[in-house]
Amino acid sequence: MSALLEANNISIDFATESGVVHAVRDANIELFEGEVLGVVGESGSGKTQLMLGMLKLLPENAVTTGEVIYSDKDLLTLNKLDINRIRSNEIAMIFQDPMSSLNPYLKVSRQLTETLILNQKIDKQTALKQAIEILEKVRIPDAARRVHDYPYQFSGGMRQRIMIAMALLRKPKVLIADEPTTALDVTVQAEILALLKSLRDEFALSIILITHDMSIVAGQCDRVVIMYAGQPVEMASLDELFYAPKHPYTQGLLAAAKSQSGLTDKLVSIPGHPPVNTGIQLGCAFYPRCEQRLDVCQRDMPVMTGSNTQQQACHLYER
Amino acid sequence: MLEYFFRRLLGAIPTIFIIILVSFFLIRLAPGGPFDFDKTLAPEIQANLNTKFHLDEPVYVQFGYYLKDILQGDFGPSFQYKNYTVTELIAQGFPVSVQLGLSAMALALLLGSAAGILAAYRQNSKFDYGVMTISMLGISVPNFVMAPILILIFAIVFSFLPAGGWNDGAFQNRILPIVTLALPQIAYIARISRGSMIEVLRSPFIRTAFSKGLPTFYILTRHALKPTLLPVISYMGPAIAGIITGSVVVEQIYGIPGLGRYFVQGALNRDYTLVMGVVVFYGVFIILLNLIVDLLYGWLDPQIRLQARKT
Repeated sequence: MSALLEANNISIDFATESGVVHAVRDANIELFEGEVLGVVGESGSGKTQLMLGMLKLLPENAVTTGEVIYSDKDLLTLNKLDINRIRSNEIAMIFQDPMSSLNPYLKVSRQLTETLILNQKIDKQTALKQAIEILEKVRIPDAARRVHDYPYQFSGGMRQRIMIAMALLRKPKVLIADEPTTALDVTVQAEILALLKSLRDEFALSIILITHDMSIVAGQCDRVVIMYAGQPVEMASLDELFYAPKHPYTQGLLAAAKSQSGLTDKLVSIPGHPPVNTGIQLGCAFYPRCEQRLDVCQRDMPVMTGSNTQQQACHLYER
Repeated sequence: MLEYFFRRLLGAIPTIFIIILVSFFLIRLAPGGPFDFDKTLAPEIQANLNTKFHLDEPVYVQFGYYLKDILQGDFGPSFQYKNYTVTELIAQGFPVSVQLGLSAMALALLLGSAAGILAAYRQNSKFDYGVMTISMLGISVPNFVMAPILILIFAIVFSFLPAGGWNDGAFQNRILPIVTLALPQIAYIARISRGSMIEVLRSPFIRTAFSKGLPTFYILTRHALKPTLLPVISYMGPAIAGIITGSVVVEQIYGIPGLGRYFVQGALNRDYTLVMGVVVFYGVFIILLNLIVDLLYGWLDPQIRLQARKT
């Protein structure tokens, strides 16, 4: 089975005043049709940058190399018009903070309908009708009236529903959800996740779900990519990840998640801090914090090895 | 909205009273009086004049008379321009100043925000650096320097524009004063809108707009323009007031019969009523402009609009 969306050897460098920051290093990631792929990592691990880079949404001081294959085209080489068509109808993205991700100066109706009118050449009336229908689908009460409101008249959870509606309205094949529930209350969080799940089947979506919450991963995802310091370190099916995590970082994350949810008495954490992503990296990025490190880890960068369903970048499993 | 408007107007009354109070006593503190001429007047005539204009009574009594007149909408007669009331002088000079000021402001708004927005969109490009350098010049060269330079270039060297005069508001007579007034404003507005645009372009909702595959021009005009212009709008109130009241120097240089010139002449001649009239008039004008800006703000920002409706 070939992947629906495939990113090969993606590296993203930011030119900053204090030198070049390597936000993503040589990352490979693929999304298969109909699946929910979780991308997990702590803040600064490059998961959001990777997604933005794939859609060419990064600011101008970022350099993205590699290739992003979607329906036999490399997105990174597309011109403005073509990438806009992809963003509009094929790969939609929703963002972490629904409070600031909607334009506060424009009515919801305009923000929902503008892509339909501009990119898909649908007339205003039909577009508005579709917008109201989709708002009902994401369970905004009294949608026909409220579509004419401004974003600040909605609560955080409602705004995230509007973001989701805005994405679905374009009938995309891929939905990239960047921590869609991080800024929301726990109860609202559950509603949004349930909504995503039901919509996924109805709209035949393939979803990339970025999160740092292991419980969301367990509830939502089919497959998981663990990222550390700008690189995927483990890729596995949900079961293998939770029952047989291989990379020491994954093991540490799971131990920490378990202790946080009250399954153990002690609060477990991974000692140390993630590295600063500048300069040349020789060995494994996790080496300074790893409890199972070998001498080779400091010298050689590990590569992805493993089975069809579980791979990890770790010297422990190389022969 | 209407209630808000009137409440703000009521709130302005103490401000205007203080303006009247302070300027009334300040101008009388200045040495000399309205009837000190090179040739001293006969004491009887002097006394007559003083009695006629209540100048022989204590200052606080004079203030009482003045307040009473002003409440009836009467700024009194000019001490210098015989046969003219202050109201007539203002009615003559103000339209000229307003025409100049508003034209200059419109020009500044158009050119300034266009340059600033383009500079922000092409941040750190040659165009950006060019705009920033020129605007730095525009801000730092004062208009009493700019005006002679412009006259030198366009009136004397190339001689296709008149060096001064009003000529009943002929178009070519307006160009140089308007440009002189507009240049620093263009510079300010370019800097403000550039900074504002850079900030807006970094905001998450602009990223959302790009992620939806909208064309760049559409995003700049429909998504980014309004929030970018908010700080420009709040600058506009004081700036319009400043450009109209502050055209004193420019009107003097180009010999334009605007209100600014009467203001200067009035102050030099100790024309108490004229100075007072212009000060009070300017004060009310500035307060009104700020009020209009606040109302505009509400129109641009839906969140403020709702709060205003609630209160």
